[in-house]
Amino acid sequence: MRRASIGLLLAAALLVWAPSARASRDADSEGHPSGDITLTWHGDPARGCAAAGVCDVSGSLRYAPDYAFTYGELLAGGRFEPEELDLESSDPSTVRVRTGTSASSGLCLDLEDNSFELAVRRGSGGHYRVGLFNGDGDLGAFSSGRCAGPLGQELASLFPIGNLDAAGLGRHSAVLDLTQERPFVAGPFSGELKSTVRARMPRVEVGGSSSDTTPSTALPRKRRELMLVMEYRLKQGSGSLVSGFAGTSEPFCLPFDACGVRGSINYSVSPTSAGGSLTIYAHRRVSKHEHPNLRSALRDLRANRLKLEPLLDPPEGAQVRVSSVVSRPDGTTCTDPGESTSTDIGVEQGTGGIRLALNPSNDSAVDALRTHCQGPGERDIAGTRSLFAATVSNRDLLRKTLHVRLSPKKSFASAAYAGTLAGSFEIELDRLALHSDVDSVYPFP
Amino acid sequence: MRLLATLATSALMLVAASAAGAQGLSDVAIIVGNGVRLTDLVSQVAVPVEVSGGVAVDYHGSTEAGCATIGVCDVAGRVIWNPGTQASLSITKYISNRKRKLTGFLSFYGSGNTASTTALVRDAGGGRCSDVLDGGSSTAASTPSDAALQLRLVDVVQPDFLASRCAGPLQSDLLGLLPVRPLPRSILRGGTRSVDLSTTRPFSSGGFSGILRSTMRLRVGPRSSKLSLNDFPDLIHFRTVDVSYRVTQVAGSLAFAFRGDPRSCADLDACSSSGVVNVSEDRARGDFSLHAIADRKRPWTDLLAALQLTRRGNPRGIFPSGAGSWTSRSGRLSTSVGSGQSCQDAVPIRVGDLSASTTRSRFVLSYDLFSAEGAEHTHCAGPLLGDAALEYTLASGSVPLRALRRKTISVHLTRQPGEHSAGGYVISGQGDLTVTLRRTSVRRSTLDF
Repeated sequence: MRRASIGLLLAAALLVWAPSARASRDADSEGHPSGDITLTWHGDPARGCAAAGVCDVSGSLRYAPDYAFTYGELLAGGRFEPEELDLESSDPSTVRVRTGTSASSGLCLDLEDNSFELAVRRGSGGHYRVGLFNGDGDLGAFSSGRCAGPLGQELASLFPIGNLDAAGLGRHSAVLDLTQERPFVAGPFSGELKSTVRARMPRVEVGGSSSDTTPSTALPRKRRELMLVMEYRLKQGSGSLVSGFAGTSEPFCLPFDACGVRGSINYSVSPTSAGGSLTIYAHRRVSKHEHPNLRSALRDLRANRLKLEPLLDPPEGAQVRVSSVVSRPDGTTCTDPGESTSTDIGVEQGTGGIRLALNPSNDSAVDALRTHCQGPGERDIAGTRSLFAATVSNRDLLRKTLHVRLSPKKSFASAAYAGTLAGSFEIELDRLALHSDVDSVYPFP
Repeated sequence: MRLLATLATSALMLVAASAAGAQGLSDVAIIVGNGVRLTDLVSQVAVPVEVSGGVAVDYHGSTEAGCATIGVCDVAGRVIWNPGTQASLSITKYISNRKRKLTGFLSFYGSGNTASTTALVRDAGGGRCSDVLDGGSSTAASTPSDAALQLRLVDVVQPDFLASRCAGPLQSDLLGLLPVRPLPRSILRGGTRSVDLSTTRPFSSGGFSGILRSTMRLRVGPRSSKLSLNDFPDLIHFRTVDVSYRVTQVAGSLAFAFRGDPRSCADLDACSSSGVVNVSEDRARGDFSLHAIADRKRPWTDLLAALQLTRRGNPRGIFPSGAGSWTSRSGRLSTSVGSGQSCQDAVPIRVGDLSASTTRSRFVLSYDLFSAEGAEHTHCAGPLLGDAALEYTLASGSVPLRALRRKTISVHLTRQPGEHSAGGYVISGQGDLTVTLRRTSVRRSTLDF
């Protein structure tokens, strides 16, 4: 009996200590591609280049990735199932756009940072298709930068579709083949994509398990927190921004072919539909003997003693339309009525209140201020800031109705273009709820 | 390419212990300032900088400047550096000989900022070369004594911010022309300062004469973050063994033959261009350090075993890596271009970078392109030295790991045969550079964060 018990204990111990027979393990492979992806485009009469004034525009973009990384699961049988493939270049893509006849053409040169998270789709016989499939994939989008040409949102799905014998990567190396030629159209432009990118991806390496090495961290002690909750309904939001701009002075305008160029951009935000909400959690630590109520919490808010955690939940992003008119020194004019993109309103704690902001775009791959005409983009006009911003003070947050006017900065200047900004974006908010509570919580990180 | 190069030449040492390399650690990275030991660090401050303006250089081949010797008398052009609108100033306080010191870097990278260098060059035959490159750079923001702060746009140890594949002047030709301005310590306490780095200066050097014009103005501050050493969570403890070597010899040469790549040579006016870029070294000297890092629970003998300094211990899971550099008065980067345009030039290479990694059985040493000290190119049109590199490496070689048991190691760095296409050129390399390392000391230390 005793021997049987020891046997059972040993078996149980072995069950506990035996390494679990894992069905799959995390694995990855990194390779160094050769070749490049080149996009060429030109104004196309069949696509209305005459109306846009870009029939004499021709350009190219060259992207030379030098790093490819795929990760996924290595199954028990040695088969590798990739989840994604990242493609990166340590040098930015080069954009070259010529405008005008060959005798008197202007040359616009610009750089664009591109990196791609490509989707992988299982094909037959262990082969996977790699590419951007209707937006499945992320981060990357080619664009013509500040030069005339296709927009990022038009090229969001433009990428070669390649092949990778990913399943075999568990046992041997495999070739990632992204070579392809295909035509594309974008606004008033037609063009072609040519890719010569190939990479030999080495056999996958199994990643180390981190669970057995992660230092154990004890939970912090709970503490009492006063929580004031203010909830508002977003009634309406609309506005517009007009920017008049001109190329900078020589010689700094030369690389962008912007000398003597003048134009305007109109950024119009459609009214956001009602139904979104803004909730502000205002909190502070309270001592064991403190018994705050709503009145004292509001006093704390006015005295700036609470930390604010605002949360905006719009039902959908606001719609934005950007149009531009650009005149060149030779008298030609480029006109783009613009296309719609979406944007989000952002909110964060500001100094003595909350800061509301409207970013140009909610898609990192899209420059919402660019049109098919040459001109400044987000990085010129907004830089790293928001396009419109406003701070609502703690005192104003106590009003039942809030009318917030978000304003742009007055001017901008970059190496290529300088200009002025005018307009505003206005939001109306109605307060729905106001209450306070004291809870025992783990401290906010 | 330039980002890596500049980060490295900003003398930031990245000690990275991968999960594979150090049991119990998962991707730990500790950044240490130039020559600053981790234990001497006091604090780091990040200060945003708003940038306006740029730098433009108009130039033409000039007899007085020696254009005939090089072969650039019919060349005229313009190179423009657009630094973008955002930069960041990183300042590190540290203690040296019981004195508080400052070291800092002004970096034109990141935050969506894309700095660019654009060259627009023509020759008498009607050829037009246009090139645009990432113009990111990072310059030292401290005085030579590390006692105060100052701002400059050009730094002798940084890659050439005016480098392009077209013929033109080098950063080293213009080094003394750009202003250096002091920066008060109040920046460290949250102050702001406008700094005017504008100037207009004529020059005549390196085959070219012309005018340099800077319209650069910086608005520095207020600081966005301050990081004290006490801010690090007390989670990571590890042991490291550093083996110091003296680089006693770097000798030999590497030759990179190039010709215009038919697919992309037209913009550079390089379709009929061919030539050779040569890197030669002779009496170079320097320092090299090999590190082994592991969790503090691993015995010292494990780390020493990984470095082949003892036959006891279990080196499993510890993969030493190393970095170093050499300086040279005789190193040369030369270019010889023929077929269509004829240009010959040579400039000094003052610094070379070494990196090392280990596999289960080999010690791999590489000649990397992290700092070029104004020698990314010569005054001739042609590929940049970075175009000749493969994954930042110009040449590499290996010896059996057990060679580390000897006090002196010699490694032949060679180039794999074959052509590659980069920057509008098709390039192939050959040659042999011999690097000799002599072990000088072994130091154990424990680092706690």
